[in-house]
Amino acid sequence: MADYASSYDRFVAAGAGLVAISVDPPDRSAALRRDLKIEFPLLSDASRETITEWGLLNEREGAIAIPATFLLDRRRVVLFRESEETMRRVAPAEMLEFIRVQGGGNPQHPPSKRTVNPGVMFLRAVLNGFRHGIRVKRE
Amino acid sequence: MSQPRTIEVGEIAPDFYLPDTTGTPRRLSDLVANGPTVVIFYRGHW
Repeated sequence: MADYASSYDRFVAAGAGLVAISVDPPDRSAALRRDLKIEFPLLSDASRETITEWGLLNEREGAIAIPATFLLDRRRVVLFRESEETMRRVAPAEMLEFIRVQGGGNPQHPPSKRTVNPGVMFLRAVLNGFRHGIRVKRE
Repeated sequence: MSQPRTIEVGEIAPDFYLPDTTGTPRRLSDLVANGPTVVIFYRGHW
């Protein structure tokens, strides 16, 4: 998450926001936020309600969150997701490029129709394929 | 034992209302209103 913290300005410049969630209580998250100089909100899901609802409850290791990264649009539609304990998190530069291709947060340049944009479909397939393995089924 | 259901690409993510580091509750639907938003789940120290 430190890499996202240090890339925060680039997300702001891209018109995108960031938020991070764990089961840690707010005071512990506050210490992390201070230590890593994180400028975006760190939220506390102490009840595990959200991580359970999102299918990210790791019961084997003390009911913590399975590391996962999502990109949502303004209506909370999932544009990208990866959740995998063993793999590295998708890098900020990759996410920024994905946001840029999607049209970013700039209302002057709304996202083009994804269904007719092979560039977006290709990038999405590559990103998701890299995280989850290539699926035979075509979209 | 069933696999927990994860949120897939194209689905609408469930809204949430969780406290930030100052204890102020933040709603996901408000956070995303300004533009595309990266939502990171991390292990934490718990």
